[in-house]
Amino acid sequence: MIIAKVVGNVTTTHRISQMGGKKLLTVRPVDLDGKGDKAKEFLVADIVGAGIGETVLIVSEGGVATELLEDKNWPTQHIIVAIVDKINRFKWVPRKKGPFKK
Amino acid sequence: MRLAQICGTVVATEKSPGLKGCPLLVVDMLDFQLKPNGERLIVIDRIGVGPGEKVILSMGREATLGMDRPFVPADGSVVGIYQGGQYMGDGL
Repeated sequence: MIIAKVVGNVTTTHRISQMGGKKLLTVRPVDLDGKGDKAKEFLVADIVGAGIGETVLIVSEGGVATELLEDKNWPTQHIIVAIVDKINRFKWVPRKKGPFKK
Repeated sequence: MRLAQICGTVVATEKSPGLKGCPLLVVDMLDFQLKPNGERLIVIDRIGVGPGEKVILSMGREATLGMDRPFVPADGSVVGIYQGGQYMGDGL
């Protein structure tokens, strides 16, 4: 799964019938500092009700996406599965001794 | 899914049987400020769009999900027509 920021949304006049009425959100994959590349933005269907400016978790597996959407033939590779509240970062400190204490 | 603009069509008489009856379109990929980013692809048309329209593309194996035939050898298809939207862009 990847972390992404919602940067916009898209409305459509026509869609194929397999795409239900789900909102399409524009997302930008970001790193843990919140910085991302504009050129890598894409559209994704929203099932959690995320708004612009929120950080979300995205699954990039098409089989998972079609399982969660009401139609098994929704033509998408990605889907939003969660809204991120907080990311805790741990600082890794190397051990001085080996794994097995004598 | 991404945004693109129709800029041409492709005619192919010899092709894989799964592509029979699928209109092939040349599209310019757009960024979300609706500017072309230089990438051009050929995709199949599942809606029926005209030249110059801005469309939503579905990419990858899922692009042909739900089509009435068992196997369509394409990795991109037009699945919607773009109407409008909001974009935060550089204000992030």
